[in-house]
Amino acid sequence: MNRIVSWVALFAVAIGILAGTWAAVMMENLRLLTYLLLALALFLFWIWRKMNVIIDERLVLIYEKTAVRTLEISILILFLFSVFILGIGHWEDAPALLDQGFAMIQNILLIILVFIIFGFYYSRKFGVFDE
Amino acid sequence: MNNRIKIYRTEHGLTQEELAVALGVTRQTILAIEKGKYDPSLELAFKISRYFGVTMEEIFLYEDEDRS
Repeated sequence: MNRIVSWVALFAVAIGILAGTWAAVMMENLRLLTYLLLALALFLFWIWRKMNVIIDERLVLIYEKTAVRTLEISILILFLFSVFILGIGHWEDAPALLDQGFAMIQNILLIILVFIIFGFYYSRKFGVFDE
Repeated sequence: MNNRIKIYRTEHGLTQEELAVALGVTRQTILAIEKGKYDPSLELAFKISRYFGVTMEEIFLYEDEDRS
């Protein structure tokens, strides 16, 4: 059943992306087309993951390490970029940039919060805390 | 950690692919273990030793840093 739902979802997403691409081309909407190309890249990544029939422990380890490193580097880059935006907003007296900088900081804090929640969850799951 | 998987594998006349299929892992994982780039989990180590019908100590050689 899950396999059928999965293939139906795969088919639906493919149709959606194709229809969206066609609409974007017809409307000459370059931004929408860019988003759809990104969606297509994600879709191809998803298919590639599905084709990897064997997900063994080494692959899981690679994915885990990749995910953690991606999170760390992404947060660092986002943080530095938001500080840069805030700095420019402050020195050039641009309130719009300050707002965007604070919004980025909020997003970073949200990601860190989710990271901490997952950290607690897995700490409990793998028995770090005493019962 | 060193191991003698390649020796046992060739003794049994197996390719990396055949061993990987038998153990339910990818060929790349067998390759990485043989090259010493990846240390298998305890579960996989047991599977490997049982597959060859030997103890884990006969396959996996742990060299203590103090001794070497």
